[in-house]
Order: sequence, then structure tokens, then C-alpha cells
Amino acid sequence: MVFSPFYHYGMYSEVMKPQQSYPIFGVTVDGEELKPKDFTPQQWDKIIQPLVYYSKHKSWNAQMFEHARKITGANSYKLYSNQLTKNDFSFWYQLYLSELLDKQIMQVSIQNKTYQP
Amino acid sequence: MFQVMPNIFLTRFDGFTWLFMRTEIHQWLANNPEGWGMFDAFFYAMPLIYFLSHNIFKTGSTIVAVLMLLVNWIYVQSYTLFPTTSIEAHTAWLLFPIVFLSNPKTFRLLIEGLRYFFLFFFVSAGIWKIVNGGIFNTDQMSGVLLYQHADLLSSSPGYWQTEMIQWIIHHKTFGFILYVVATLLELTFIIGFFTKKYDTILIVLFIVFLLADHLVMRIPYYELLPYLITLRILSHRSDVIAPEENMRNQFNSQRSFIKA
Repeated sequence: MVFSPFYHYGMYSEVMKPQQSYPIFGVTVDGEELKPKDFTPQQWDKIIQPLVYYSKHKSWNAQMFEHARKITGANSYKLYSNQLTKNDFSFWYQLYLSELLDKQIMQVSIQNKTYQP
Repeated sequence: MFQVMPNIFLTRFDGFTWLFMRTEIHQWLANNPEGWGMFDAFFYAMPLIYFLSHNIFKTGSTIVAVLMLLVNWIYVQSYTLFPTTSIEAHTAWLLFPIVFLSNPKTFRLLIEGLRYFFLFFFVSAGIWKIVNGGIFNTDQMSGVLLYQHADLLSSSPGYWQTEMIQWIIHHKTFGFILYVVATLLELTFIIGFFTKKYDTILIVLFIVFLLADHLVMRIPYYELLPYLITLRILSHRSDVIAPEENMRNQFNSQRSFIKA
């Protein structure tokens, strides 16, 4: 555990061997797949990070709440978890992409894909 | 905040954040455009308000500085819970307002404190690579690049950056040397704890680090740029650091000269 503003600056310090496959997201907007080469790193993060958050928020937040409960005596799980449904998220994500890409979007589809080097 | 459009958050493994989340501010921000606008207005207005209170009205600047510190902490703690870059890249936003709380006597001390925090950032990153074993793994850079750029490699073949990354992945020895050089670069900042003589070199290394991080890792770490002020630029210039103190020293030396 860390305590702001003293963080653990150990990003990519653990041993990382090349894997057989990597899970990735594909985002298709009105039939056209978005590609990272067409965006700055910041813009691409904005496109992909919400999907990463959605894919792990339930298990991660539950795990964090357990730590918070043990260490700080936190007792309200609601504070540490998102109260949103898949539909809420999908509706928001389409609106969000529309703002980000600065165009009206009719359809967004998300694919769970695998990259095999 | 308005661009992030807060909706979904991940709780950080951070004791301070757990306590902060008890305020429910992050919940209040979710799907609340008025709240985002208010947060952005406060966050971007505080430096201007401080400037007006300190330089134009010449009153209340300490209170404004305290408010700026508070606003920045609430803003950054909230902002980084939602899908953005990590809070580690935002420490300059968190810490720099402290400097405006100072008087001529404490200003230098606080700038020095930020300087050591910045050095700690780099040196600890280098030490972790040794402690966690990344530096001893010859496949490390290939593994890191594959993980970091899986979507770029998968969907953007032929793009110059994809080609460059592929080349490094396939030339494992070159990739490993790059990782070792990056680790050594980070560890070099330990010099700053003992002397300021090499601060110019550290400035160059820091800029190289930022550019390389953008080019090879596609990680923009530019929010750390304010820390450059804490290196040689300010820490060696007494006229910039503490003008009142400097004037007082000049006055004292002139008085000594007249007495003599």
C-alpha cells in the first residue's frame, strides 16, 4: 500500500517474459475500427482505458474495499464501488466517444480480441 | 474533468485515497457535468487568483495558497480515479502549491524538498528494477513492449512506430541494453542527493527520459516537467529564489562595507 503523495514507482520492474498471447480490445465506430496509429498516446488511452476499467472494476474494487476495511476500518462498500449497469456504461461510452472523436456516432461495438505475436 | 466525463472509477491501493473516498466527492462527480465544470473552473482559476492576490491586491495570498493546495489535492485525487493517466504522473500538481505557502526564509527549503522528492522518484524507479529482477531478465524489454503495445502491434502494421517497436522486440539484445540504459539513467539521479554540480546533466537526462518514454513506450510523462524548476534553474539563483532575502543580504553587506 502507498500513501499519497508517496507512490511506488516500480512500473515494469517485475520480470516480464514475452507471452503467447495478449488480450486486447477492438473498438468499432459506425463500422470502422479505431486504430492507435491514428491517435496520440493520450487520445488512445482515453479510448481504451474506460474499457479496461469496466472489465475489472467489480473484482478490483471489491479487493480494494477488503484492504480498506482491514486497514482504515471502512464499512461502506458503496463508496468504493461503481453503481452502474452494462447499459449505463454502454450509453455513456458512446456519448464519450462522440465527444472525443467530435462526431455523431450511431453505433459502437466492442470486441474482446487476442494478439498473438 | 470535463473531457474525462467521470463515470466509472477504480479504487486506488492508497491509504490517503481510501480516506478521501469517504467524502463521496468521486461519487458526486460521476455523471455530473455541472460538477465537472465547477471543478475545472476552480482548478484553472486558482493560479490566477493567487497571482492577483499576491501581485496586484497584495493581500490574502497565504489564504489563497492554502485554498490552491486544497483544490489541487481534491481535483487530482478525484481526476485520477477515473480513466486517465496514473496519479504518479500528477505529483507536481499535488506538491507545487506548497511552495506558495512559504515566506522568503522557507521558500528555498521547500524548493529543495521538492527537488529531493523528484530525485527520489527517479532513483526509486531504478532500484525497483533491481529489487524486482527486471534488470536481470534479458527478455525484459521485449516482454514490456509486447504488453504495452499489443493493440498497436495488432491493428496498426506498417506504421513507423509499430515497425520500430517490432524491431526492438526482435532484437532482444538491443532491447535489453535499452532497459539497462534506462535503469542506469534513473539511478544516475542519486548524484543529486549529494551535489548540485551535475544538475545540468540531470536536466538533459530528464528531457531524454521524457522523449524516449513518448517515443518507445507511448507514455506521456510531461506533467512532471515543473520539477525542472527545482534543479539548477532555481536552486542556484538566489535572486530568483528569495528576492527579499537577497536584498537584505545586499543591504547588510553594503552596511558592513560603509562601517569598514
